[in-house]
Amino acid sequence: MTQTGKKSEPGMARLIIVLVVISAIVALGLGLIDMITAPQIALNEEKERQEAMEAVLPADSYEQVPYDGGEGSIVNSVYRAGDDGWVVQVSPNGFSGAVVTMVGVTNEGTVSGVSIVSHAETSGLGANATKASFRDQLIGKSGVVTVKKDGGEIDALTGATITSRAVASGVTAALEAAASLS
Amino acid sequence: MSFTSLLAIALGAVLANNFVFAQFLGICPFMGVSRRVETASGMGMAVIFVMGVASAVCWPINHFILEPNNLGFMQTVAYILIIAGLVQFIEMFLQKSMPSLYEALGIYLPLITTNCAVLGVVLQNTTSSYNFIESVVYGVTGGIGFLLAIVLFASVRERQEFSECPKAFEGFPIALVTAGLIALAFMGFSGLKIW
Amino acid sequence: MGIKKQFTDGLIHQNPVTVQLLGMCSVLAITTTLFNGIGMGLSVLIILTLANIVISLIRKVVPGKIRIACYIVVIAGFVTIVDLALKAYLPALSKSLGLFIPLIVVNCIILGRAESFASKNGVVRSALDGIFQGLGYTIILVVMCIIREFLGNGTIAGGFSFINDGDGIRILPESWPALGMILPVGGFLTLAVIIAAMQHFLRPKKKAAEKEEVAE
Repeated sequence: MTQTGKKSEPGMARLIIVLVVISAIVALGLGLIDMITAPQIALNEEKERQEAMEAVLPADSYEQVPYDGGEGSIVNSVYRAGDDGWVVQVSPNGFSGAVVTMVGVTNEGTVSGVSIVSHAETSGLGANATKASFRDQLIGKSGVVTVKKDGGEIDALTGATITSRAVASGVTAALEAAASLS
Repeated sequence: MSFTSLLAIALGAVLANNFVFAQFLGICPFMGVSRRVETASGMGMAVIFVMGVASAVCWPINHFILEPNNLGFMQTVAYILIIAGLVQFIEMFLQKSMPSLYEALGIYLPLITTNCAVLGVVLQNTTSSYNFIESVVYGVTGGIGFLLAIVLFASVRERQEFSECPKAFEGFPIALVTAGLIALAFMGFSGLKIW
Repeated sequence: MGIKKQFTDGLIHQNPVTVQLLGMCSVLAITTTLFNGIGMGLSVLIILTLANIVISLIRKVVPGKIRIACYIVVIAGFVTIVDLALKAYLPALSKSLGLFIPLIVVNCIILGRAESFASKNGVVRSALDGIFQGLGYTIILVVMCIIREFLGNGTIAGGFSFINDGDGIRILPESWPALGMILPVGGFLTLAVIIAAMQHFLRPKKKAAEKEEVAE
């Protein structure tokens, strides 16, 4: 099959060179953009974490404390919130990935607040875990927290049992972590 | 990472979190190659292979090259190039060893490159921080879920050819309605509780 | 091809979603709030236009055999730029659209237009093609969002942080809406109806146009 307008088939070398050049230009361009945006992105994440911590347990300062939950633990990090309690970040597995949650635990071992930091749950269903009406249920709970279907006290979200269970298990793990450090 | 957690990933990928009916990935080839069960199953097998191998190849590239060098932003570019290369390889392989399947799949074979499910599964492996085994399991079972979806759909569509249909709905719209109903049925799996 | 024809083609006669049947994964997946719809639509429009421009610029230099790979790299580059930009400056949208931003790389619309238009036309035409096709895509997204959000959640304009903190304007009481509309089944059914409606309304025009051609 002849190609009109082309004098000869480009050799393998030409193919590789063009692809490599284009890839290199793209890579350099992206590297530049990454350098420009990375600080802002890091700032966003830090601001989010700060806001999430303050939403669950306001305190003057948060100090990270080392915590090892063992293999497969869903506890990401534990912070001592001033003298008032603990703030624990957990990542239980929801419907579509981790539901990163910030749980505030008072010195008495009860939940002071819960806020969802990030998730990939379905809009209108699991995503409603971020609504105050769902999260407020968890305030004051202690020990093992489960949804009503599993014998506990938490009303699961409509059509989002998996997400609800995930949050409950995250809160339980947070309470456990705080208890082990008290 | 235990056997039960792997099983949970697998069952989720095939049923409750089916790539087509729950996650909306892979719709274009799903719609395009589902007229006959035979071609549909051929496509499904090819996708299982690509998803599994892509997961297996992209994981070490990310884990050993991209992440340690703060090159996370290159993930999209790297992954899609790897997938494009893989599909090219499969094309050549099928052309030589299974020419009838190659003919039947036609244009849809190179289109596996743009199958959202393939890039989707690789990206999800990264964001979920799966280790190597978990990534490959998710990749392969995700493909199995796609195969299940496309074969189910094709068997319904084969029968639909003999049914009457409102003129405006002919072709694509009625296929979408069918897919929607199957998606509704698949919702039943979301209650599947893994020990 | 005149600009006006390019415009009507992009929006109606060659609408990337309802006529060319491309880019469906995102149309079905993210059309649950107006915020998602407009955000995704504009992102795709920008990426499509920029990619079309670059591909049109390099079309004479790229050998035919590797053109798809080259186009993919260019598209992936712009997608990553938009992804990083959203993460930095519009984190709410980035979270809401999630995986579907990087998945724009494999949105068949972009590669499709690159292959069928930008690789064969000049820069200005290609840029306009990107804008018009992007608009056609965005319009379908917005229509889907409005229908699904209204019937499935009872609200309009949800997701914008400055409107009711993201809850949107509530039109129907909370117990009325059909939850299924924001689930996968709703996505499939809504798109089916939209495509059916367009097929229905475009057909008489096609027949009239055909009759005109025959008469001439």
